[in-house]
Formats: sequence, C-alpha cells, structure tokens
Amino acid sequence: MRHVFTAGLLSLIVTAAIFGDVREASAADEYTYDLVHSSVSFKARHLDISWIHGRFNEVDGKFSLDREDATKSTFQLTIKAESVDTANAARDEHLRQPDYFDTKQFPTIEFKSTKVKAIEGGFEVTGDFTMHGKTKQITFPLMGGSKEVETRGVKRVGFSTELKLKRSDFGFDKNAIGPIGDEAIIIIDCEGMRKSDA
Amino acid sequence: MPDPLAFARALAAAAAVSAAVLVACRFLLSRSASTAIPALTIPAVLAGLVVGYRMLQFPWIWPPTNALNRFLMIVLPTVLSVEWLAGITTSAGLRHHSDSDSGRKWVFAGKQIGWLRLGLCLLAGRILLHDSVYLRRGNPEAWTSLQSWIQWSGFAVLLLVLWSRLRHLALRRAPGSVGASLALAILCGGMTTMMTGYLRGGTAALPLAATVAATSLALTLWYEPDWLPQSSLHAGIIGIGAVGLFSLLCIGRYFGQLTSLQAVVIFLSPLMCWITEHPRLSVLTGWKLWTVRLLLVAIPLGAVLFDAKREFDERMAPLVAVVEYSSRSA
Repeated sequence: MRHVFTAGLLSLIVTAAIFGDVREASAADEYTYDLVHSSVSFKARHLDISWIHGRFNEVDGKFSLDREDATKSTFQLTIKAESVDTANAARDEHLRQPDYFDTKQFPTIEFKSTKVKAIEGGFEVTGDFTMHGKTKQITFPLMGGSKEVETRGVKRVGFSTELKLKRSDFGFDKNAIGPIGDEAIIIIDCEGMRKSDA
Repeated sequence: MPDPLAFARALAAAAAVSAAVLVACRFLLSRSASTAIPALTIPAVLAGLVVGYRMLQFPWIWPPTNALNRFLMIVLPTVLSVEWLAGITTSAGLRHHSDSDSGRKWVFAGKQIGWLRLGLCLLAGRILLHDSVYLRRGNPEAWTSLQSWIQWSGFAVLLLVLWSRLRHLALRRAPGSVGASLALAILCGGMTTMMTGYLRGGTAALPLAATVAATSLALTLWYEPDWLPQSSLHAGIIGIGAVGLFSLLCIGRYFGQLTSLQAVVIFLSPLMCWITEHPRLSVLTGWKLWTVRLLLVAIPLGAVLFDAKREFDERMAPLVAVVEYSSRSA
C-alpha cells in the first residue's frame, strides 16, 4: 500500500515537472524573442473605408525582466522591414520601395527601451523607435509578463501591446501617403524564452 | 497617387522659366557682353529646376536621408557648380585673346575642370548609395570590397563614356539635339521608374528633363551659330543631363525596381544620335537632323516603356482588380 502511495506521489511530481510549472518569474531574467509564437502585425486605412492588414515575418529581439525593480527591465526589438507581408506580392514589393519603407536604405525598424515602470497588469515602456531613418521617443503600455511558464526545459513569458504611429512622423513622403492612411496601428504579441536553470 | 496635371504644370513651368532666363539674356546682353552666355546657361537651368521641384513639393532635406535627397542636395548642386565654373572659364576664355597671359590662364583653368568632371564620375555612384544595404557591413546584401570596386569602376566608365561621346558629338554639329536626346532619355527613365513602383523617384526626373530640353531648344533657336560657338553653350547642359540621367537611373535600379537592362538601355540610348554621323546620313541638317536623332533615341526608349507598361499592368492588376459577378437565374 505504501509502495502504491509513494509511486503515485512520484508520478504526480514527475507529471507536474514535465507538463507545467507556473510560478512568478525571478528578477533580472533575460529572454530572447520567440518568432514562432509571436507576431508583429499592423493595419492601416485604405481610402478611409476599410483596413489593410499586414505583418512582419522576420523579427528579432530580447528583453530582461527585473521583478524586484521594474525600472531595470529592458526591451529591444528589431524588425526586418523587407519581411513585410500583406498577403499580396505586388503590394509587398511596392511597400519595400522608397515611397514607403525604403528597405534598401532603411533595412530595419528598431525599438530600444530607455525607461520602464510597472503598471497594473504589465509595464509602461518608453523608448526610441526608429523607422525610415527617423527616431522618435514613444511610450506605450506593455501588458503581461507576470506569468512565466516552463515547458520542456524552456521558460516563457508573454506580452502584448497596441500602438498608433503616423508614417509622416517618421519621414515617409507625405505626397506618397496616397490611398493608404497616414496612421497605422501596430499590434505586437510576443513570447520571450529562456533556458531553465539546471 | 500620381497627378498628371500637376506633373504637366511643373514640367511646363520649369521649361518656361529656364527658357525665359536664356531668352532674356539674349536680348538684354549686348553683342560684346555675349561671351557671358556660357556662364549664364547654368543659372537658367537652376532657376527652372528650383521652380519645378518646388511645384512638385520636393523638400530640401539636410542632412539627406535617402538616395533621392542625396541626388537633389549633393550630386545635382555639385554638377551645376562644376558646369557653372566651366561656363565661367569658357566665358573668360572667349573674352581674352588666347595668346595673352590672361587668355592662357583661363584656358589652363578650363582644362582643370576636366578633373572635377572626372571626380564627379568617380564619386556620383558612391554618394547615391551611401549607407544603403549594399555598403553596410554585416548586411546580407552588402558588397564585398572587390564587388564595390567593380561597381564604382563600372559606374565611372559608363558615365565617362556617355558624357565624353555626347560632348564630342555636340562639337561636331547640332549640339542642341544632343541635349534634347538626353532630355528624352531622362523623361523615359522617370516614367519607367514610376511604372516600376517608385513614384517620387520617377517624378524627380520631370523638372530635369524639362530644363535640359528647354535650354537646349532656347540656345538653338535664339543664339545664332556665328555669334558664339554653339558647342560652348551646350557643354554645361550636356554635363547636367548626363549626370542627372545616371543618378536617376542608379536610384531607380538600386532602390526601386528598375532592372539592369532597363537602366542600361535608357542610359545608353542618347548614343544612338551617333548613327547620324554615318556618311550616308551626314547630309541631314537642321530640323531634319534633329528629328532623325530624336527618332533614333526614341526607338530603344519606346521599347523599354512598352515593356514597363506591360509589366505594370500585369503587376498592378490584382491590386485594382474588379471582381465580376455573373448573375445566376434562380
């Protein structure tokens, strides 16, 4: 009887270890951006009657979370502008040209945080956003980050945010704004991962 | 979105201003002061360019952030300055007797301008491609050192060949038609760049084409050949046209979607004018010579435009497709 009980308890412990260990993330943890489980997408008005949706398929980044002092957390993201994808090859080629993203001159869109503070449900992040050769400081709420899930030796934490940007603020030619609206809404849902401690 | 009316207005204004400056000089300057004309062709071109680019709302951005800005703020002002210097030395050389000390000084100064032109040929491509993916270390598209040297050398050779052959042709006869053929090539380059998807890059060609054409025509119509050597008047315009054509095609090729074949055909098309130097065609003069030269240049340009239009229609059709619904009877 005792053997059965011990075996059952051990099974439970092993199962819990394999299939999930939900707990608070520790301070100053470094995460890398998980492209497979993340997305950076956007939408912009077309002729002011509908929305054009798109995404960037090649994104890289890293962030560090300091639970004890949120101000020491950092966030960094690099998007390859050429990976723009609006499900239409002709439009994607057009967007890569100098009238829009000018990917041969400005191959990346980058964000680097300069200030982070804790808010309810996440963080308020301030940083330098560089697109089309222009850098502007932006501030946005980044929700998530409180739960860290461990699966198969990898610890994961997730964030999401939505921000509005005007293309004309970043050096896009006002005369080339055209039928696509100046303002774009960018939606970022990302997971960061780090290896479990041995 | 492209506004053909705005383009036409800017083209007309740029051409009108350039021509007006030259025509005014023609009638305001006395015969003795006419040697100043070579130095005045460049300000005429500049006036037309400023008006044309302002009408098309091209901003003056400093420091320049992209290739088109670098063309408008660095390359174009440089070639205007070099050709203006050339015009000044030519004017001074015409004023002073070539046997006098000052005459020899000006002739010597004029020869140094050749070095400036050579420098421009060597550096124009490098300036336009500055800080692009082709020159950024670590970028997958970055050129190796050997590739860079091959590119810069190729650019310099192409530009030198076009520039020198066209100047040589202008020295032989009908220099105005050489400028006009350059203007046609610039216009075609602009339209092709627009149709490959780079609207602003193509639009930048319009004022340049207009001013080159207008000044070439004005100098031909209002300046009698025996009054001043015609070739001395057109040299500056040919330089501006050649460097402008090279720059706009470089921008369209390396930043837009212009193919290498399109760029090379458009760039070399003005050399078709040399066909009229064949002995059988050497009898052509005046407007007949102009017409034949422009028709010859228009042949390859027309082929490029036709192909670009066909591709534009194929590529853009899905974006502007109208879905047809067939009605079905109940």
